[in-house]
Amino acid sequence: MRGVLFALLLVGLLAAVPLWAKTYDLYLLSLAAANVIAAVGLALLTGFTGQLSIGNAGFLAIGAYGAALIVKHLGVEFWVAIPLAGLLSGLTGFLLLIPALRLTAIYLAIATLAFGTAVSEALPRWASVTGGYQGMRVPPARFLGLNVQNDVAMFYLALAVTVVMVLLARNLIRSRVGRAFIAIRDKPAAAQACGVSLTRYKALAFFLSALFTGIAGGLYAHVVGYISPSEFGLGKSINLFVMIALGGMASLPGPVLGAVFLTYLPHWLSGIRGLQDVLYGAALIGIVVFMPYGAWGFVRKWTAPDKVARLPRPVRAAAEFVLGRTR
Amino acid sequence: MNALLSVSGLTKRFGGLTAVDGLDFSVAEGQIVGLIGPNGAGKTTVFNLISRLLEPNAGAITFAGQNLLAFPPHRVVTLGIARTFQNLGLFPYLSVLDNLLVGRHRGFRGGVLPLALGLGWGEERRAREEALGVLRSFGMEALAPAPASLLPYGTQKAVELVRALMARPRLLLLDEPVAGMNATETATMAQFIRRIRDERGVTVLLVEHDMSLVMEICDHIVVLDFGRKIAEGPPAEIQRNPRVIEAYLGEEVGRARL
Repeated sequence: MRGVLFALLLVGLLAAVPLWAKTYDLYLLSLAAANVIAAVGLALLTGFTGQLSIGNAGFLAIGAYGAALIVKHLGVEFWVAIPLAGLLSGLTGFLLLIPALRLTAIYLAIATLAFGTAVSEALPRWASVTGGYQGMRVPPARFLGLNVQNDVAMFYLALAVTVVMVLLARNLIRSRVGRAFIAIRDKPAAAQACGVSLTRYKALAFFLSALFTGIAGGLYAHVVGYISPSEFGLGKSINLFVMIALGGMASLPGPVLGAVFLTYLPHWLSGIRGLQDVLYGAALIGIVVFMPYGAWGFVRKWTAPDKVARLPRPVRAAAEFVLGRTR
Repeated sequence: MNALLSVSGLTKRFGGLTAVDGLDFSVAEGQIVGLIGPNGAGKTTVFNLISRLLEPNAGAITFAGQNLLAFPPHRVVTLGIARTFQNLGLFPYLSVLDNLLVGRHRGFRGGVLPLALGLGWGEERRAREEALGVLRSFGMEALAPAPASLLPYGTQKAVELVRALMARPRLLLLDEPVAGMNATETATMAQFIRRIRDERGVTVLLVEHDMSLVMEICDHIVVLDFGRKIAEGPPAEIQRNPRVIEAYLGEEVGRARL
């Protein structure tokens, strides 16, 4: 109950952001929203189901180009184009099931890497459709018959899509599906003995991951307004992986935190010329060293009942109120 | 009595090693049957063959009149066979309650889309109540929220057994249920296994090295050595069987050629 209240409060606060924020802030937040969805999609696959993927940028590309082409050629509304792009990507996700049923861990990661590379190499070569290396302009999103031209409207669309996707992920994780994913990740033989079909649930994990990432790609395309193949290479796949690793990959708040942080980090560092990459690397190393289970794991560790009990009294009372533990 | 499970001519080879070699035995409904033998005799391989995690090279397995070999591993539990694992099959990061809910995974009917939309909570709530009820009947309800990996080893073994019961099996395969337990824990587990058979009518096939447990609770014992059955019978008979003694202790010193 308290969790729901805090979530509502957070969404309410975000919804109020356009009252004071500058256009660039809204753009960044919309970008973060797309990254959040993609990170949640990867967390479902890698964090929960234990299927290591470093090719998810491929799904991001399919979603982005899919949405752009769907809007360009069919002229459909945003809320039709985005799910369609997601579905297109989701169906491609089943392709990765072929290696996933035979390979595990790092070997599967190599197969996903091959997929991601294949997509990012195919895009510029299919120039008649994708615009080649130059990329393509994304037509403005249409919503209720209007063209979405300003950043405030785009921000609200992005926020809405993100809230919906995070809720869907939350419901699934808390159901038998989430339990089956974790069971497959930790003890595949025991999972099967309990009646969990490895084929079916791995297929579901890849489908969901590709669906979420595809929707993120569609949203990303609309937010930036222009897409090119170079944005969807190996670098982006690793970027997505770093998001969930930093945030804590087997949780829902983890990928959300990681995605927001990694969207903002380059912008925080952009003022410092020359040292940017060094600081970026140092920040990542620092987090991995001090938060081995990601930011969310860190939060969980320091909010465990025994840690809270040792806090000074007023702080403890506040912490217990926030955590919903009253004595 | 009817044979609930019967195995005939079962053979499994790993490269040049024949782990199970033309094995025949059957388990009568309502019995507790022990599968024993020295290390490497092929006991766990037999379990993995019955739960379909391994494909046999030859032979047949029939369960309740059905050809078990026609089913994929995740369907075995639907037929009524649940199992535990030698080195713990609990999901360490899930709570005890969630582990039990995985145990009744096949009992869930709701589709993925309704689940994603947040429907299907009625089913989830009923499943939770059922799991808590089962825990309560074994006096373990206080464990429900605990992460499985934080429990003491003996408790984890017991929880795994309860998880297997969540599938409402007719046959329970227990792979070394008391391995690593002290005498008190072993006695508790023996009682536990008996209760499951007596109160729930579950047939039990167990692999175990603790001979006191096997002799105490088993109605029938099958002895393996190098993948072959060397003896079969009630505990009292097995204890006196010279071939069994030889398999466990080696030949008599007097006859052994040094």
